[in-house]
Amino acid sequence: MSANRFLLTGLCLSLLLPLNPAAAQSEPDTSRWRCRFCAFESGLDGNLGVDVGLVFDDAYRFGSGTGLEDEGGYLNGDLSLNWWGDGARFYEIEAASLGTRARALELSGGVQGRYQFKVAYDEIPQRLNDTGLSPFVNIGSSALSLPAGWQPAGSAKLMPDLAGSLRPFAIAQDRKRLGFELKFTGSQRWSHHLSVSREQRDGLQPFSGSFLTLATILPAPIDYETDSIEATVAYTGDQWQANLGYYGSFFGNADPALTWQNPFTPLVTGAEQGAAARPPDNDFHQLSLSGNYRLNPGMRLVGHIALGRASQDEALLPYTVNPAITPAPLPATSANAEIDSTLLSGSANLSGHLSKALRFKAFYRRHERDNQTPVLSLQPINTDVYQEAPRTNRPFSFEKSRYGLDLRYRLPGGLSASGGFAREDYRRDLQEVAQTNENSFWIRLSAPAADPVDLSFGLQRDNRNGSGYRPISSLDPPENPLLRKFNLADRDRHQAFAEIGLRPHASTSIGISGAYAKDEYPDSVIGLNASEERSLTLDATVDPMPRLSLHGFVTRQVIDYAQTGMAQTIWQATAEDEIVTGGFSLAFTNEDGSRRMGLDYSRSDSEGSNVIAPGSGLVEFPDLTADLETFSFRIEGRVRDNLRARFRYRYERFHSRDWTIERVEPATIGSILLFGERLPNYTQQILWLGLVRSF
Amino acid sequence: MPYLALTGLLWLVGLAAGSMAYAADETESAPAYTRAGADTCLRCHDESSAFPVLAIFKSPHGRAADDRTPFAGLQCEACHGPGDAHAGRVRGDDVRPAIPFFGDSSPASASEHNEVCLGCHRQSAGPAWPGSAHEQNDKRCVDCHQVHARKDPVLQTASQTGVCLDCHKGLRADLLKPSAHPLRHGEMACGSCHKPHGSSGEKLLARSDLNQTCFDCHADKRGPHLWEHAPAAEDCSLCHLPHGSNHPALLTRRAPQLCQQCHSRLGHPAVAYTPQGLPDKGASAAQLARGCVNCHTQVHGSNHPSGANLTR
Repeated sequence: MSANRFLLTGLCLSLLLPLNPAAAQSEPDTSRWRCRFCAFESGLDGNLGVDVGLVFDDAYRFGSGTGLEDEGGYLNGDLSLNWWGDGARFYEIEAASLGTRARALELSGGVQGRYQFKVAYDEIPQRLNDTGLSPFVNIGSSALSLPAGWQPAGSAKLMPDLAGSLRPFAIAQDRKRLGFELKFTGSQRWSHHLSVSREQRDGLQPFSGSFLTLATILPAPIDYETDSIEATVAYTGDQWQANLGYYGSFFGNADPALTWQNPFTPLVTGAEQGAAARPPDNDFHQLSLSGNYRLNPGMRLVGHIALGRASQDEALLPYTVNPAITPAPLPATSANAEIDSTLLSGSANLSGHLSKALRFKAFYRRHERDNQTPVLSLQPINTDVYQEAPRTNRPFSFEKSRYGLDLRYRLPGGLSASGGFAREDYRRDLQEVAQTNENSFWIRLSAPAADPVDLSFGLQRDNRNGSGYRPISSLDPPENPLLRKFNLADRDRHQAFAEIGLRPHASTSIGISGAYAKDEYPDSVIGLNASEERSLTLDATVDPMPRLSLHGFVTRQVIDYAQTGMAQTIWQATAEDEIVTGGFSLAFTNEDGSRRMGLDYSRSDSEGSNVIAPGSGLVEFPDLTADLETFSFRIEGRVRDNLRARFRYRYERFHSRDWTIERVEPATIGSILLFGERLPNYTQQILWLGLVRSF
Repeated sequence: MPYLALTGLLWLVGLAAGSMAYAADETESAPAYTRAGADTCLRCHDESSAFPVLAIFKSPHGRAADDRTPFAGLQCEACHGPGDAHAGRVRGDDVRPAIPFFGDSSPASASEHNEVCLGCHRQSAGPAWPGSAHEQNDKRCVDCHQVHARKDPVLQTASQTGVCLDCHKGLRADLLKPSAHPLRHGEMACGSCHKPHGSSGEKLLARSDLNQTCFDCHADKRGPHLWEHAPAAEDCSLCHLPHGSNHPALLTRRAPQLCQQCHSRLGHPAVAYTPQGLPDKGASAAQLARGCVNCHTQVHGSNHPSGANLTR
């Protein structure tokens, strides 16, 4: 046996030495444990609520997440029912917002401890704007047509038929998801879990159809369906546990292409129609194995490996739909794109070994994206207008490794100090920087959570350096050689945070926290030069009397960016987002629980400023602002033993200023036919009045 | 030589692991259980007490028919530990002894508390719990979970986010920003993207990396595309702020400046766009409406053979 083997063997043996177990606890005599006061439940239990509601106004954006964009009356309901039978058999129904397009319904059941099933359905509405205008007659189709007899023009401002042809539509989508889960708990050691789901997304989203210098914003249909399946087998032993899992995702798009009639005078013969690719159908499969092993009570090894493959072989569209251009034959019928991913991670977690006060974690993580997509020599037709020089696709791959060490030591008096080091090595191909290496150091000090004053403070420093920046040579015109893309550039990052928790009284807690982060890119003459984020939060909870709780918070966050560009001369730009958010809530329940009330108020004021120095002097853009104010009040009281009445009121106001939208009509730009949507501002009020029956 | 040094270091760690500091305090006598089990506890902890507990009988823990539950075994003391001292008589100004676990003044550490839960729930916590962020920071299971509630709020989509925000206070503001995922109305929850018990991903992400987590709901962005946009393929957060943003589509900034952080080719990508391009002074195609995306619409990648410029 070599010396090294001897040493390693010694290590393994020493780790496996049995440690003194805790003194065995003798089993108590439970022969007199009757559980006479135990209020075991059986039969039906739960609530059924029915509400009638009044929505005061049409407020399209308010419909996001609520489904309540239209003025009028609503009938709504929610349900929470449990049924418990003999032998731990149970059924549960949970339902919410049944009368809206944000409804959710879940039915579950089984025998607790043996098996459980769940069927769940939910809808998520997204409502962005319903004031967009477009001249296409068949909005919702993937082959958009203009009105018969449409007279094109070289500018949207000159289109004679435009004003009379514009029709409104909504930028919105609905997600509907149906899922089924099954879980078997065969024993304390084994469990099996299977879940399958189907999600449908329908709606419209903006999409650009361009012909070189002219473009039309198109209402592109969304008709997506994603099936997913996840299966896990888990084993839990005395010393180790493991999960073996499979995850599959299968995305389908009913409209792999979008074609549209060009409303502009064609730039070249035959460019009366365009076609673009929409998201291709794709599959993703991943096998994963996770586990941990307890070497002794104070040391666990944790590991994870996952092997994944994403692929798509959607048929390639032709280079052009312009009949006047004869393109070269396609080199393949599909991209046959395939990406293999590998994740390998592991950590060793030790506590109490060298000292009871010391905790230690060593970790390693490696993630690889191996792009197996064939490199094709393509001869693109630029926006159905002209033949470009041959191009080859660039299937990017990368490999990222991160490893490091965390140490934590408990100091006398309950204080704890921790610190760590990590290094990240990032290798990319086909990009400007082949490898970056980042070193990170951090320290943290914290006081015990049980004391009247909790304190934590932390600092982190990261330093990233690259192997050399080499601009991509195949681009024509090339990128400015002084540009450094910020995700590849050398970077210094400083982070700090501090938290103070005060508990001046048993019923009062106050928290103050602040965070600071700054990124600097010292070698980036062109591109992002620096970014900075500062935030301060004050949070207080007071329970001035039993059953009354008050909570308030305020957060101020500032995010700054500084960047440089270069046209004929160097220009500089800065941007700042300042977001101030605050709110308070109150909840009260009377002594016998027969009445409950609560109110919530919150307000968020966002302001974005942009300043540019295009050479000489500073020019300021108008501010981008968005203010959201919400107030809600609810009261519920017992009418009879099993019947309660409830009243709810909600007020919400959203007001924004946005120069990308304001005063922009469909023909404002001329070279681009836009939607010309209005700001989605609104003020909304809702009343709900209902009854809750308890079972 | 480095190998020897590493081996030596491991030896030291191994020796320490095998020989030091793990002995339990054997001098302590085992505390006693109550004489009547839950009936002892429920004499005080009824619905009128400062710590009402009866809702546990509406929860899965209160099912004696499931032989894994506390009420098929040592009842309250299955989790709270032997309670005879706590339930006993207290003389004069003496302080009532704390219940060993899950009481306001219970002396047990966070990891000792958690071991009580993991005694039954190790499987559901999953293998990634040891060394995970919450475990490393001494979070107790009960900091997030309400064991006595009929429905644990952190396990309900509509109420889960509120539980997380109790500690992650700074994120409350993100949810109210003009562009945010639909957590505010309870349509999503933190658990839609994060696994609080530990995961193979960074930041406790649900999938093995950030992009795979995003693709759970945004599978249309997965591609893989014939023409990739490298930063989109690498890391969604290079352009998006997933917790909330002042800009549409959770973007970090508006175009064109967002795009100009990485693109400065001769011609329109390099231009210093000023307010002169805004109505009523002008109408810049790169600034109004969707900015650069007015033409380069396929920012997540294109599968069109003529899509190299992300316009098809």
